[in-house]
Amino acid sequence: MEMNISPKNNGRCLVVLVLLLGLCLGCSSSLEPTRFINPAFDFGFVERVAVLPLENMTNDRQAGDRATRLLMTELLASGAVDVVEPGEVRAALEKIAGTRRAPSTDEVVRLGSALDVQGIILGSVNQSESLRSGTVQIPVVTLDVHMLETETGRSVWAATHTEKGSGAASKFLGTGAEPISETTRRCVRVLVGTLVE
Amino acid sequence: MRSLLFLLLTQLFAWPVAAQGRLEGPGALFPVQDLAGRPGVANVVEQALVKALAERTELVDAEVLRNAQRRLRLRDPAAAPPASLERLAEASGADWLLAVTLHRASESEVSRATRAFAGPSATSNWAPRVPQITLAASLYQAGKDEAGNDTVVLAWAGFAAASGLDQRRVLGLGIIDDSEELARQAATRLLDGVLTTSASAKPAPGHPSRTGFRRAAGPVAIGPVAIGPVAVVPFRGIVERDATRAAATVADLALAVLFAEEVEVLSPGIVRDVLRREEVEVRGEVRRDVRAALAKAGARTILTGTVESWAIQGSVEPNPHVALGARLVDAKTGAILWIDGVDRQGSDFEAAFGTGGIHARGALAQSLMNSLIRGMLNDKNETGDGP
Repeated sequence: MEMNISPKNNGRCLVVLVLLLGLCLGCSSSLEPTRFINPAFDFGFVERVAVLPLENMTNDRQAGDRATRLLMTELLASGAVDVVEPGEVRAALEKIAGTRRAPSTDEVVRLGSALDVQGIILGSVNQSESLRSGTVQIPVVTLDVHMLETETGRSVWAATHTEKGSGAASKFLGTGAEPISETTRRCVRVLVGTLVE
Repeated sequence: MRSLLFLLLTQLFAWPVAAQGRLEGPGALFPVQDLAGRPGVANVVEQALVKALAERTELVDAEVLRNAQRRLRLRDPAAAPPASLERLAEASGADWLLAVTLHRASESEVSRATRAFAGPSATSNWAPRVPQITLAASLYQAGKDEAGNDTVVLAWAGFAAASGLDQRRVLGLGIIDDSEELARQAATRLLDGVLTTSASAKPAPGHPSRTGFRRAAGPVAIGPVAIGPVAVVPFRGIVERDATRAAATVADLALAVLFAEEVEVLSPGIVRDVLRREEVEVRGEVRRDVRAALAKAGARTILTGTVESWAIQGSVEPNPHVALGARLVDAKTGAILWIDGVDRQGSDFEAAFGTGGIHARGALAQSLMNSLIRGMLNDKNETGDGP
């Protein structure tokens, strides 16, 4: 049996290959982050922020602490803002908002004054798990964060993003997936990128 | 012949000469603190240390030390404030005090593939298990401060972690399957650290602090700062099992690594004393009042963090997974000067033919803490998850 390799068939093969490649890349890529930025707010005014412990909505017990630490790291590394030591944040939060995780508008203003910050960042880890795809575990992390300014307590920035840990290479080559902390770090970096340009 | 004699004499006197740097005069070894719940292994460690120390230096009689401890109600020397250690040194007549903690002593099962060449016993129904051990030590030296008052300073901190697979060679030879043998080897290695480290490395009070690290430029960039004395505040364990023990191990490890890097460290006894006076259970974070109290006690910066993973995985042989987060806080202003984290598995260090992997959690944590602290001092993040 002879194969008919005509220029027309070559073109079809090329199209199929491109489609397959696109499919592979599509499997590995994540959606662009969704973000909101209050156009009326001057972000140059924000020099120091407090990061409240992110709420952990997942079964991964370390997800909240991990994401909070990474968020602080990325904010400090950006050089755009200073971040308050989390011990001071926790102490002020306990004093002003008690055991409630989400402070009211009035409490946000008081927290801003107590911690000497212009912004308060809070949010949640909505997903932090490893999904099985064939023989490969793919870590997936979804974060949802927003910033409140401390003069009036209004929301000035919000963003959400889902990041997948392993790309097409690990699927096809069967190599191990990256640690979930690495995926979280990339997710946080994308989110901070929507705030600091 | 003369050179052979010279070599022999050098070898014979090498340890005592080095030992004189740190362990001059009579000293005392506290009973090993057993946090692992393995009194048998703790006893083996203690016996190995007593034997090695007695050969090279003068040890205060154990009974004298026990009586002095009882009289002063000093149960845990590593947590004791310096004033209590001063009284103990005076009461026991010791010039130095060595406190050793057994953090972990456990065994992990290995697969048939690994155990196939483990030795003659592998052919029987013997269930092979690979032991792991983690030890930490603190050496306190009695002396006089600048005003001529008696004082006890933390002179050295060390850490040793080992797995039975560390010395595995071709065909699986060299695997240690006896916990006690591994404990003896780890204790000897720990003691080597005290005896062989040069005495000049001792960060005595007033020793110039290491400088030269810089935070990323930002609105409040502080430039190069001296970081010592550093107060190591207990880390917070957020792992599912053994959280407190993992955090205690990592805090001791941080202390040892800072010492190895010649960074001046505030005695952990002083830190615990401050936390006790402030009546706070601080783990992995620094409140304003604690920060101020530590600054008053002499700390320039505060190191703390979290243990985010502390697990043993692997179906073929033990594969530790450790994730750490750490940050350095300015004791005066509360500014975060440095923050970083690292997440690795022992198998990440494997080279060709499965060599070079790390099999003990303590050893992996030590490697990660080394990279974190060196990254902090050099303002580089070579292996961390920072920028």
